[in-house]
Amino acid sequence: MVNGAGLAMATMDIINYYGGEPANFLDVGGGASEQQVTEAVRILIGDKKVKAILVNIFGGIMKCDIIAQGLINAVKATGCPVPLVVRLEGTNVNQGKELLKSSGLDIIAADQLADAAEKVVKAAKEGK
Amino acid sequence: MSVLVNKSTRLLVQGITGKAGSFHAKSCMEYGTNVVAGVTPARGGETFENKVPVFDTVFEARKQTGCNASMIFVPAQFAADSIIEAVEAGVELVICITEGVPVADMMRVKVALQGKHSILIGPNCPGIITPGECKIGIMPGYIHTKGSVGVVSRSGTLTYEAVWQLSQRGYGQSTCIGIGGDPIHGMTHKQAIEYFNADPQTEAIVMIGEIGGTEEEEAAAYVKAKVRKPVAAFIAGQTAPPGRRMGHAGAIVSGGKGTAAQVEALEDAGIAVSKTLAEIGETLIRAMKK
Repeated sequence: MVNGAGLAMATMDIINYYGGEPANFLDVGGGASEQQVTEAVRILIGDKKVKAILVNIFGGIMKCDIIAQGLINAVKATGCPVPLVVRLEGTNVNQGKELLKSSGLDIIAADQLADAAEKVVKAAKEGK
Repeated sequence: MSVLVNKSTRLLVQGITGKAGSFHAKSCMEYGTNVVAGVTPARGGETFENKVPVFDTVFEARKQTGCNASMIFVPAQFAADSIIEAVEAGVELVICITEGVPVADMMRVKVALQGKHSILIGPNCPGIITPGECKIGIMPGYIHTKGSVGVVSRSGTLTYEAVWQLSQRGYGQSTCIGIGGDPIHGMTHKQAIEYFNADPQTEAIVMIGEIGGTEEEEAAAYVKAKVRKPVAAFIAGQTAPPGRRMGHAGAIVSGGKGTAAQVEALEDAGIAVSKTLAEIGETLIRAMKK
């Protein structure tokens, strides 16, 4: 899950680079709400080919705390059967990271893009 | 020095009373951009944020305020007409942020631009920013720092990513230009690099390309012939399946042309090509130290 078409392509490229294989991508764009982010997770886990989810967001118009809250709601509602790796950067990044951390949920945090790609490829192989 | 926009830029916002237009006009003003006018047909006479006069037409706005750049947030079905209106009113720099402008409309825009002195950036782009001086577009201002790297890109979020890597490593930017992800658009990679090459403040250049089209190769040919400043590049979508459009209307591998040829053309021109997005900042810094 990304915000932007270019970021989608580059994220899939780097997953490949670290030996993984993207099943699909979902672009939440610039104006998604918490509910839409939650719904996006439902769509992703609805695809049985998906072994792990990488959320890579560079917040511009999109705010990281909205993404974080949407993800937390999604994990609480669905239990999220596959590993979830989240890398947030940009607008309201600290609030977003804090929300994820204090939620106590099983969400793998990543700092840099390369770190995120490595973690998600590993998580997809190992499962939850 | 910088490229195309600076402290003396006088900005008009077309569609200033709309949801996106008003939000981003305000954010540009907060950054320090000199927003001198807005245009929304039938809303002439109003004032935006108690400060900026709104006009019915670009012609009127230009006559009254001397605006020399325009940022367009008009909905896609009317965006082409708005671009043409700005061009015909003589606005020097026209930046269209709107996504989803029909290709057939953009063909009309291209014809309207011929013989005119206006420069078009976009559509479907994040805009242009000279850090610390003038932000025109939807990019988050705070990730940018003033400096000497020129950045040109077809994608918004990829530009932010590259700019952020540079800023964190202490490499500021002269100007960052998002040329947009549509198949028919205004300024090309090559034209942006021509500006950077001519700008004494710009000491190095980053080009963020995508699969689809031949603009990156054309830029590479220019770099090979004319540019002696260090250039680094990244091409997104190298693992994209051929024939599938990857989110941006212009991003599609077609006509049997692969991305390998694209990368080869760049490397042949002496451009340092970053293997992944995560390394674009470091790739440029290494090229600058050579």
